[in-house]
Amino acid sequence: MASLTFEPVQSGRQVASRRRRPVSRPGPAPRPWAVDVAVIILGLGLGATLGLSVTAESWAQLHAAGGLAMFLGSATGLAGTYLALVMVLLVSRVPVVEHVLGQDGLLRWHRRLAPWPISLIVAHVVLLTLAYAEAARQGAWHEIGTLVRSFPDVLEATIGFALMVSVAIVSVRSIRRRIRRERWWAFHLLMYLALALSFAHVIVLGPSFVGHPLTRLVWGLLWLSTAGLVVTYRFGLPIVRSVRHRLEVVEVRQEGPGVVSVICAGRRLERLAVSGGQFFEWRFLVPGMWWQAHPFSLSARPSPPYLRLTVKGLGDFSAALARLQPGTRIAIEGPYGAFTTHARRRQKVALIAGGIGVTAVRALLEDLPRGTDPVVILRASSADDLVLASEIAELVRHRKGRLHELVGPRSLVRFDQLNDLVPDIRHRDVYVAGSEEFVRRIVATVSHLGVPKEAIHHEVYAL
Amino acid sequence: MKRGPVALASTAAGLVAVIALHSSPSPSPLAGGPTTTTSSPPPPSSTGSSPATTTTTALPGALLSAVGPSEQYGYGVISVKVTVKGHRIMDVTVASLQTAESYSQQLAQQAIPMLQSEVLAAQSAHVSAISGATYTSEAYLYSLQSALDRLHVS
Repeated sequence: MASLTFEPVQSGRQVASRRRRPVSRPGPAPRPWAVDVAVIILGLGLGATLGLSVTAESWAQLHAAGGLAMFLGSATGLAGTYLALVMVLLVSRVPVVEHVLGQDGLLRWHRRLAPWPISLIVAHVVLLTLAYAEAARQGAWHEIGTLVRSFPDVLEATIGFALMVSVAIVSVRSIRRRIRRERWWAFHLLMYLALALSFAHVIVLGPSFVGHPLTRLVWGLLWLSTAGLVVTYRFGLPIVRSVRHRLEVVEVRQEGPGVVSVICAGRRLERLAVSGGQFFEWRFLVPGMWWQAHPFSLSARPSPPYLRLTVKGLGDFSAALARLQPGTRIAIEGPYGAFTTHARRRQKVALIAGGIGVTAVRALLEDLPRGTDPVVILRASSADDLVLASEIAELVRHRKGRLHELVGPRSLVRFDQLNDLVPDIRHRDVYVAGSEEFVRRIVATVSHLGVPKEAIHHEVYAL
Repeated sequence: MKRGPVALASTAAGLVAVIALHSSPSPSPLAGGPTTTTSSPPPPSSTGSSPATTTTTALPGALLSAVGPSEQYGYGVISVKVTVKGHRIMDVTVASLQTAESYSQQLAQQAIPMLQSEVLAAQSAHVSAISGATYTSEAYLYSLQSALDRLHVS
C-alpha cells in the first residue's frame, strides 16, 4: 500500500519511524441507547416543567384580573426556557450523543427546534405585559416601564430578550443567507449571554420558584450542569486536545483544480481516537483566520504523527488555506460525525461521493472491514476534478471492491443508473457525501430504489 | 426505536408525575405558615362598649371589627382586619403578613398603604389591584371581602 501514504516526502522523521509506526486509535462505537435515555429524560423534564407551572396556580389567581394571561405567560416562559436549554444541549458536543446522531443530525434538530423556544418566549413577554397591565388597570406601554424599572432582574431579562430576538431574526433562513457564515455564527453565540441574563428573573419572580426552595435548587442545578457540559465539551476538551497534540502545518499540496491537501504533524496522535469519515473543526492560528473554525473531513485515517485534510478552494477561507506556511499552529475541535463504519447495518456497502465528498469516503474506506464488498461511485464534472482517485482505486482493489467514476456535466450523469451500477443496492448500506444538492438527490434516488432510511448515511459538505 | 413518540410519552409522564406529586399532601411552601383551608378564622370581635356580638344590628353605632381569613398567594400569606361603624368602613389594617422572601415583603409594604386608601375611598373591597403587586392585592382584597361578609357589610 505504498501509494497510500500521504506523508511529506522530504520528512526525515518519516524515514526514521518507518519500521515500527504507531497506529491511530479507532473511534469508539456509538451507543444509540444513550440517545434514547437522553430523549426520555428531556421529555420527562419538559413534562415536569409544564407541571410546575400548572401546580403553581390556584383558581383564585386564575380568576383574578389578568389571571389567565398571567398563567399562560409564566407557562410559556418556563416551557420556552426549558426548550432553549434543550437547544443548548443539542450543540454542546457531548460525545455519547454526537457519536450517534452526528454533528449534522444534532444541528438539524437544533434548527428544527429553534422556532419553538423563541415563539414561546415572545408569547411569555407579551402575555405577562398584558396580564400585569390588566391587573394594574394600566396601559400596556406604561406597564412595560413599570415592569422593567420596579421588578427585580427584569431589566437584565429584557436585555436578554432583545438579544434573543435579534439573533432569531438574523437566523431566519432568508436573512441568514445574506450574512457571512462566520459573522452569523459569532453573532448567534450571543444567545448564551441572552440566556444567562434571563436566568435570575425566572428564579426570583417565577410563581413556581418563589417560596419553593426545592424547585429553585433543581432548576439552578439543571442550568449549572448544562453550562458545565458546554464548557467541558465545547471549550475545555478542544483546548486540551489542541494543546496535547500541538498540530502544525507541514505541507500544503495541490491535489487538483482548487483542491489542496493540508498535511499536519502533531504529537501523540496515536491517542486520538478517530473513525474514518469523521471531521474536525479546524482553526489555523494565523492573523485573520484564528477566530474562525471550519469543518473539514480527514481525507485519510491519521498516520501518526501526521493528519491530512483535503479542501476544495471555494470561499475566502478555503482559498486562504493554499497560502498557509509550514509551521502554522492549528487548534482542533473534534472528531465529530457519525459518517463512520459504525453506522453500518448490513454486510455490504456502496459509497457515493460527489466532488470533494470524496475525502470522507476515502477515509471511510480505510475503516471498512474485509467482506464489505465496497462499490464506490465517484462523481465529478471533469477528470481533473477526480481528486484522490488513485488512492481510492488502491483501497478498493485491496478490498476486492468495484470503482465507478462518473465524469461529465451534471446533466449527463443520470442517477437512475445507480441501479445498473449496483444491482443489489437494496441490500447494502449506502454512504453519500457531497454538496447538499448532491446528497439530497442521491438520498431520494436510493430511497426510491428500496434502501431503507436507517441504511442511508450522509455527510453534507457546505461549500 | 422511534424517538418522537418516546419524547411525547415521557413528557406526558413527567407532567402527570409532577401534578400527582403536587396534589398529594405536601408541606406548604411557607413552612409553618397557615393556609387558607386549615386555619380557622378568628371570630369577629367588637371593640366598642358593647359585649361581644357578631351582629351589626345589635348596636348600630358601635365600632365592630373582624379579621379576614389568611389568604395564601404565590408569594406569601396575608390576612386583613377591618373595622366598621354601621355600614361605614372606618379602618383596614393588616392582621398578619408573611412573605416568602424579602422582595415580596417590600412589595407588599408598598402596596398595602395604597390599598388601604383605595378601600377607604371606595368603601368596599371592589378596588383595582396595585400594579406590580397583583397577587398581594388580590389576596388582600379577598381577605377583606371575607371579613366584611362576616360583619354583614356588603
